[in-house]
Amino acid sequence: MREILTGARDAWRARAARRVSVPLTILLMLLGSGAAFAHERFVKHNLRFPLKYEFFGRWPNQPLGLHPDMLMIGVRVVGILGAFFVIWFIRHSLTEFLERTFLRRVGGLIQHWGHKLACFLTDRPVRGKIFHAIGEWAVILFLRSPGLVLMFSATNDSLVMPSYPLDPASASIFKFAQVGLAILILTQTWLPLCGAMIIGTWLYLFRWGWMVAVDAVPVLTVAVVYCTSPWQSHKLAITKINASQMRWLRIVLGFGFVALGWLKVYNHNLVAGVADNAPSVLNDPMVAMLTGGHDVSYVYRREAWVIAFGLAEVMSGFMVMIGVFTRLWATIMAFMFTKLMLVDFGWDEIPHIYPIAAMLVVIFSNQLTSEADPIEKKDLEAWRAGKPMKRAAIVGTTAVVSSVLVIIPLLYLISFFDRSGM
Amino acid sequence: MTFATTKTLVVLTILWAVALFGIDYAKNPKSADSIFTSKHMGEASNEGKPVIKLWLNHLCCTGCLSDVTNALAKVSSVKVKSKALPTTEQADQNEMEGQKPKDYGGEIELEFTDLRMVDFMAIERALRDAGLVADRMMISGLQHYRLTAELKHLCCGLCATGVKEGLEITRGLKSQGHFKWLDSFQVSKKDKLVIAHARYDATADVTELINGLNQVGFEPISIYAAVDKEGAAGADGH
Repeated sequence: MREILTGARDAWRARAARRVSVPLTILLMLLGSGAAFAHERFVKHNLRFPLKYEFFGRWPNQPLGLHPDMLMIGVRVVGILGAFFVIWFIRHSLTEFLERTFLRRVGGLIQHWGHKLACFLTDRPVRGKIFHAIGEWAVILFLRSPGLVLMFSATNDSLVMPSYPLDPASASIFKFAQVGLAILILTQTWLPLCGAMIIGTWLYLFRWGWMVAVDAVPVLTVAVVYCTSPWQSHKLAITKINASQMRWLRIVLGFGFVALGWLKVYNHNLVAGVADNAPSVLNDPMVAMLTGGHDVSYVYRREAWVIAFGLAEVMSGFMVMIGVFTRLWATIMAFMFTKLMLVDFGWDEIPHIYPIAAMLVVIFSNQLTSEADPIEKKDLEAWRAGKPMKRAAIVGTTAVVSSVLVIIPLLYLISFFDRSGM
Repeated sequence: MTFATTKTLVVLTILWAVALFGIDYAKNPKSADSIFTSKHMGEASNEGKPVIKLWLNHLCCTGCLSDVTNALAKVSSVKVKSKALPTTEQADQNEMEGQKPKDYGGEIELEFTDLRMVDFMAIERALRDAGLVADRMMISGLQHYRLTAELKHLCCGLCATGVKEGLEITRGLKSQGHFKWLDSFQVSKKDKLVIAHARYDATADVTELINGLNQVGFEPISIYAAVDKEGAAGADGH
């Protein structure tokens, strides 16, 4: 009898622990996934041990011809994307329910801050002087930070980023050109010209290979704002980004990280090399969730980590790109970049000031829109018309189709390429 | 307020991109079909082969070069490449006529068959034994590579920490133009090694590494350059 009671108590404790650990794990995954956005360009990335390349290739007897683990990681990412889509479409009902049933009863400050938090998480405008002030400051930082990065690169004999070393034969000219552009940016002079020069420089990066250009796509984010600024920009205090600018900024920024994520999956040696040089990144909670938390002795641990690492970036970039829980994902990314810069890799990551500034602009903007708005409108119409099945079909189809299309086709296609010699 | 039109932006972007391609082409002339092929630093200059060059602050005539050649003859892994310099007689004549060279120094290139056999400390010692000294020993033409310095003395953890902390100053010196080639370094107490990883495709100055180690109180026994290949560099640099 005593054993039965003890067993029941243990089972109850285990259930309680699971109940507590699930949200805790999710929180940790969101806040602690430092590796998901590691910027391997500035840090050492030489492979110390060869990867097991068969993992990334074709597995004829397996579903889709992918390694079961790789497919499982893909399915998990699809699941998370789908879940976020569904929550996005029901977010208003959800927050209304929470505010009515919980916050209204508590009242006072908790209701006030709870409402603000709900607005923040669901990308609705957040009212508040501090929020507004940080937003303005973030815009100033964002518009000027590329100047600092260019200066830093010039002093390191590099082009745009310290990881792109300049050819000695033409280094001086390129360094002076960068400093010239940096001066224009820092003094906010002729911003449309600065935008054109940034896009032109990005085009030139194709000279160094398409992967370099893809790697630099996030640089184009600021060009969106520069190109849409007036020629007389030096006379203005630009502290706001309008809804149209914000939309394109979000799309370019998100797309940049989607591209970077796929590049990591494609160029697995590079990202595995980072892990070899900084093994702590292998213990990332979000990546561990996507891989299913493999044991240290698992034969494809590094390979599975590479796929999960890349897809984590694809996932977060995609959410920012289409504007679904933009603030939440941008906050996670800003946190990661800050952590990498200040804790993990140190000074080598200082150019991350730029993406952090871009994330801050998104987080503290009250001009956020979503590419899912037209679908949401149809969902709303179905709700008002009292057609729950139609509503479920709209939400379900959008969630499943979008999530699957973002991940599975490319994961399948990439497996046909032999990247072992990269 | 006036805004840029799409046409203006497209024209400016294309002009800027063309200018950058143009500068690149002018400085590194290549055939048109290779313009959009992936660019790797150093390929144009030496076809990816490693090059070792020494700069001596004094190398005014064939007499000096002869002494350098004789000194380095003791280092079996390298051979001094011939170089055109004024003869000793010409140098004497110039001196009598008051014709001084703009610079007394000169650069020599070393020939070698296997980079793995080239011990930079042996070169350094051979030159000093002959009463000469290289101001710079430069290695270039490699993409991913490292310099491995073996230390005789590295008896405890504090020694290793001392070397590491001492070499940290190299980060500060980068802003003054020193150690610009250095990406990072590791200290292995177990193997008594200091491994200096060079930046991608950078020209490393081995003398800077020697001086840096001397500054923190250590004299390397040997310094070898090794190419980092996939799977070749272990945690301790092996």
